[in-house]
Amino acid sequence: MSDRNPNEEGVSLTTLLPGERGKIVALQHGKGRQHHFRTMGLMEGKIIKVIATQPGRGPFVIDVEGTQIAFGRGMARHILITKL
Amino acid sequence: MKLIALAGCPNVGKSVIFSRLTGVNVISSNYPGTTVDFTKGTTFIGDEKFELIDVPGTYSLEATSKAEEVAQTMLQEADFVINVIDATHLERNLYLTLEILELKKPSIIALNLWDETRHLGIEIDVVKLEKMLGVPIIPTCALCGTGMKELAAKVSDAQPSQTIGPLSEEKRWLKVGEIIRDVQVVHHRHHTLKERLADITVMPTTGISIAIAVILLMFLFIIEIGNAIINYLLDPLFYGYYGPWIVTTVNSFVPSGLLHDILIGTSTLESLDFEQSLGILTTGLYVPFGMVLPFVITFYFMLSVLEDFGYLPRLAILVDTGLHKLGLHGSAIVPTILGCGCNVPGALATRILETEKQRFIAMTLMAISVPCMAQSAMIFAVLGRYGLRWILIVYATLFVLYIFLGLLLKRIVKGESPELLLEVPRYRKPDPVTLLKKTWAKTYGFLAEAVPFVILGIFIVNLLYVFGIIDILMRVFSPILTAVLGLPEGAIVALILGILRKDIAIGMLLPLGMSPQQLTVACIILATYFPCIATFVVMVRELGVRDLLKAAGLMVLVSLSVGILMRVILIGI
Repeated sequence: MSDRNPNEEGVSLTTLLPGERGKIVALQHGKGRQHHFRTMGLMEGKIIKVIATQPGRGPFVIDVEGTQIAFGRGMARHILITKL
Repeated sequence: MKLIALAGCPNVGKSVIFSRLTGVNVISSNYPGTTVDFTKGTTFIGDEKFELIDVPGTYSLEATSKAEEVAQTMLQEADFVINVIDATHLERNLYLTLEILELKKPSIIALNLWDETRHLGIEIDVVKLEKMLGVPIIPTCALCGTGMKELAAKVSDAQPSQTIGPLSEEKRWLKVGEIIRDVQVVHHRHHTLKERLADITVMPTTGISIAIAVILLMFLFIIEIGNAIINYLLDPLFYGYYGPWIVTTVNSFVPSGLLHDILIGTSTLESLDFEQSLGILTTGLYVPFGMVLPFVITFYFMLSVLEDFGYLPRLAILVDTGLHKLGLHGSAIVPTILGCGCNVPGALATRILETEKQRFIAMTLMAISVPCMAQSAMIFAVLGRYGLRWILIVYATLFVLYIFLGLLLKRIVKGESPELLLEVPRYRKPDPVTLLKKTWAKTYGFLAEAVPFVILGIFIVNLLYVFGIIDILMRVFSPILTAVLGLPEGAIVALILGILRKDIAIGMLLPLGMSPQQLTVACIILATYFPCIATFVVMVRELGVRDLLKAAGLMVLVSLSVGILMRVILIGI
């Protein structure tokens, strides 16, 4: 949270391809989901890497500081990142 | 007895620590009034006996979910708290730690997976961390047992933290950041080979091939080991020792009559018949112990291996897209696989699904088209003698049904089907002790459920025959069984018993002298028409009467339609 720069423009996480990395600039989910994501280690300022995406609009598998998390495309869309 | 609560985030090795600290007297149960499962056991520290409770793993105590609420209540009831932290993910674990310490319970911290920090390039200043958190911290490696003695020795002297007071959510995050800056240094490192290997199991092309191989190997293993146990251990025991002894013993007390028939049925010393004699002490014991148990044990062992290894979440990711088409999501694979062992834990495990729609679909699909291991073992035993293709027809039919009904239910059941969200744990080497304990607990669950019902079933069948009720039932149901489904009238016995237990019901088909075609149709009907009573009871509890009636109506409809269809295909009109 403290690393967040409000001027930073983010794009949706879904624009990343497997192997690409990005830095989270904002979570745009509801309050409960945001809290859950933060406690799982997904929060502003963290660097994530897309490990795999599943075909047919399937889920994303990402790595954040050594933890892998899988979530659906809808959830991925609401995570804004800047590409690295 | 004083209560120690073992709390931590998911996937931190909490259950391994739990099984290290407790003996065999571990009970798994449901938290009253909720659908949250937890495990409880006892442990001796010095001479004093403590109760140890494995609090459901949660990321926080905010009480946004039932599991978090339960975790909070359990912690409040505890006299001591052991907070298990994953040392390789310190930052993510500290939020919960702060919340726990804010409760002001006497606490200590197990810094687990300590052995892994070094090669991951993580350095943690434990002394400083101890000072900042104000409670003792013991670096542990639950798998190798390091730190367990110290943990047990220190817990009863624990004190509430003096340094951590109540914080707001935002302050808590700031505190986490502050602690991490002060105590942790992470050296840059490259992706290790092990991690690369782990990654290919979630990539679509490689992952799916690996998944198919894993599942095939698992079932091959279950069948081969199960058969070996039967051929080299159980059959020699039953036919060589137990059979002659029980027949001689029963004959010497009750040489004939009703009691004799109920006890050992038609078995004689010359022709020991465990499969068809229908005695409580012959068929009643042989079916659960001699035919089903070996497969149940190997199934649960293999499942525990996959579970502890950390493979199931990956499987969930790979099948997510497919299961979404059925109104479910990837996590539904876990109850489905469990249902292949027994539908009862399978139905309970649908609780990991978030919405009622998903749970209804998952349970209904399971009850109709996921045969439990007891049922599978009997289908193999009964149809296997006519060749593999009959077995394949049964399973292919059930599989097609699963897909077809899922597609249908997704459209007609109201409600939400949310997306998948799960943490993918690192692969871990399973701990043999935990594996064996898990296998035993699940197998015991099977025995406790199966044996009484099998024996009751055989008892009922005997009574039905003795009082001639069977003849009446056969006459009543003969139009539908014979004319519509092409089965002999006697199959009604199997259908009645199938409500009680599926394994013994399939066994009931044996004396009817059916053709393989008829047996195949009968097995499909038995699998689909109704769940066994134990599953039924769980479904009432989980779904409520109204939804259950809907599911049951669907079962009867589906079973009858598929039965007729398969009759036309296999037997002809």
